[in-house]
Amino acid sequence: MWRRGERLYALLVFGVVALEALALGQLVGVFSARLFSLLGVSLAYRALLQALFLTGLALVLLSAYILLYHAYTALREERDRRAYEEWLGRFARALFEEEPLPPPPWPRPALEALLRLRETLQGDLAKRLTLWLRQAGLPWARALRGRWASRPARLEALEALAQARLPETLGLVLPYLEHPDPVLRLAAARAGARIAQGEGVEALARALLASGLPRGALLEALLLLEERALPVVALFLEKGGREERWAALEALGRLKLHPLAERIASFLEDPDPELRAAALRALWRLGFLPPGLEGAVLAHLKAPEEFLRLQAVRLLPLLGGALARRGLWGALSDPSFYVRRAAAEGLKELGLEALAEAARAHPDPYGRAMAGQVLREAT
Amino acid sequence: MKLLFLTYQLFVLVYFALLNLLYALFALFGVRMVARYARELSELALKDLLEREAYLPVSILVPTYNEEKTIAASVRSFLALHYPEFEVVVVADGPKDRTLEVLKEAFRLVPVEAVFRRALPTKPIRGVYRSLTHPNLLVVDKENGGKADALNAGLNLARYPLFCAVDADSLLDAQALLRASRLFLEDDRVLAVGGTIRPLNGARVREGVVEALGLPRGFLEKMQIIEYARAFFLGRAGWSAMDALLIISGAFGVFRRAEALRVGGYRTDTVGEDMELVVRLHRRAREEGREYRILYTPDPICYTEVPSDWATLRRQRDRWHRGLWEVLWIHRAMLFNPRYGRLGLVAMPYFFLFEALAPVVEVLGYLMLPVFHLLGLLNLEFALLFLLLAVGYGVLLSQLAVGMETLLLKRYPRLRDRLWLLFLSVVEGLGYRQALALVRFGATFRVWRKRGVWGEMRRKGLEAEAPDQKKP
Repeated sequence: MWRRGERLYALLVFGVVALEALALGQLVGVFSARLFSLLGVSLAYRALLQALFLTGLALVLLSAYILLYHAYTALREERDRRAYEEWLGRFARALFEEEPLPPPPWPRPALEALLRLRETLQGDLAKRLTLWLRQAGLPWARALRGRWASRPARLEALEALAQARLPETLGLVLPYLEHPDPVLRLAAARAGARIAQGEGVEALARALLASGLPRGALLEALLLLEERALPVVALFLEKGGREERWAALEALGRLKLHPLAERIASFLEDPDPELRAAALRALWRLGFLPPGLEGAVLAHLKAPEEFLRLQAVRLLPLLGGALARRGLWGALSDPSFYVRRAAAEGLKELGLEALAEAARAHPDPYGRAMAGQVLREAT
Repeated sequence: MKLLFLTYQLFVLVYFALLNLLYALFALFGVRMVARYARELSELALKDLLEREAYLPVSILVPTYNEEKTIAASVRSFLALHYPEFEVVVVADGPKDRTLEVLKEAFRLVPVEAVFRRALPTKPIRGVYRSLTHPNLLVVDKENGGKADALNAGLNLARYPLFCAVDADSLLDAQALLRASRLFLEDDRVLAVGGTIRPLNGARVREGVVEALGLPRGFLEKMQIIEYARAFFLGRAGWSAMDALLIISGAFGVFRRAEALRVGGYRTDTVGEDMELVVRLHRRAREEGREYRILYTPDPICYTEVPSDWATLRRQRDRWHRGLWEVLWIHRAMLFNPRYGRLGLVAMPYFFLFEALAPVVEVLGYLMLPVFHLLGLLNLEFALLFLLLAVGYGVLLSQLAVGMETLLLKRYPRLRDRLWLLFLSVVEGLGYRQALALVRFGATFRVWRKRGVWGEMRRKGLEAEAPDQKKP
């Protein structure tokens, strides 16, 4: 999307701004002097003409740059696109028709095509692509090791490694989780999560723990790990701070990491209500309530925070039978609209009969209306 | 008298110099911000976000009034967005035309009895409809109360943690929501995100999707392409880079719903309700001493139909300018107030001195020319040269914005179009901009008389084809 050349453009803009500042500053100076009769009209006239000349010059430079840039990039992009498509076809023929490939090094469009295929294909085909990527020598590694590479070059390299998914490149990525630039840290977390395998996952877990990334970014990394996330989530729950634990609880539920379900219990009594809500949400997503936690869930029905009551109500159907029904019936009188809605949906899970009864006979008119609404939607 | 004239001249010059230097500064900040954004945006990350369900669901709120020509195509485009979990809440704000009937026919709407939380007061709701063909479409029919009231009604019915306010005459880029919502996921402090708006006129649209952009035929429509590029790529990008973005266009903005509800939703007594909500979010967060961010992001693109006739354009600009004054008045306590940091000391004063008052200074300047001439104080040649300089600076700013668009997106891919855009940026300064300054000048004196009054827009319809891009 973004084409090269913005540095030159930025330089041009800087030049234009400098010219403008110079011209305007001179004009203001000259006119101020005129006010106190320190300068004659001819000098003011000259300053105005100079300002006009500089503006004209800036306009010519800018227009010429824009037009030349447009024409040049259109040509270059067309050439790159053709080369990319040619290489894509060549790799596809090598994969499916066993056509021999020219020996590396391959040009940049070839590597882009290779990464694109690696991103799309799986199984044995992906293994062959991985082999070719190794043969290609991964030129991006240089940008990550080098001291002078720009931030965009490093970001591009991290993304390329993320697409290549070569486990041996994790070592290049992990140091970036300590980088002072949060954008590079986030890119490294994403890349690391895509690359890490086996022991690398634990190394990534330790690096993520020390990265100081916000919880949304940590959650993204955990979700990218998918079935490999278990040891990372376990480490976060054990040693993480508030952000890491929140991300771990969210990921635990979303990835359905059942072996860690028992670990959630301790968070139901955490002093931080957001962590308690995340724990309740994780249990709801797992669809499983470990024995002995019923009391903790019911206690949250009386929490002052609406979001805690909401999460607790969503868990009630898991209690089953009369206990669940009683809890949900009571929650239909909750002052919060959202808790009443969750209660009505919970009753629906227990059976339409329970919901119909609430719609007909619940003492709270708002509870009745909510049950009626959910009943109508269900039927 | 001569001293007075020279003092006036100096005042105008200092004002002009400050204004242009500020614009130039925005250009610098804007280039930096846009370049950084473009380099950091990872298509791979967006794909991962989509596949792993690491997103926040969004309610798209579409307030609509008399938009029978555009509403079906707009809603279709919203329903076709690339986003895993979203709902579209169309609020028909007591339309006088067939807007509601068109919606009923196009989406097979059936009435439902909706129970919803009336968190914000609105005009009475007459009915709520669900679609038999699109389960994530909800249509609300209510008594007319204005755009802000309609948005509040939509907010009451919305279910998801984020909401996206869009105009009914707008189309969204397929990935717009995904790109904007990514920012909320990655940073809890983000309260709102605004995107870039581009004129839809001249685009080739099929099934609610913009297939290609071309330059429209109309002069006014072409001019607005330049204006929008300048407003977004210089103004908003610059302010966002300075963490002082005060405007998120009503045509496309994504907000945290809970935050909007917490500050009381949209105000219904102003026509600048979009800017007002953003200023109020800033104000509340600053008063509470919270860390927060309100961002502009260049790529989430929204296409909107811009006025093609002078009467509609004049009404629109009149309304925008009155809206600006209303917001400045409502939040006058923030002006020059150090409690609000750079908002109180830079952004609000800028909008007061260089946006709200600019047409007054400009038009008075034109009016004073013959007066000074009659008084024998005017050096005509000098005055004309100065006017030429002013036009030159205006052209320069427009060209900077065109340059930014070329680098970032190149949505107008033909060299001929680019040449046209550069030429139009010159033409813009030769009458068009002055005419709009006159409209805004008039609006300044109508603020109190027409408080909260909207003007009607004339629509052509979204499925119009680009004039010189006929389908094969």
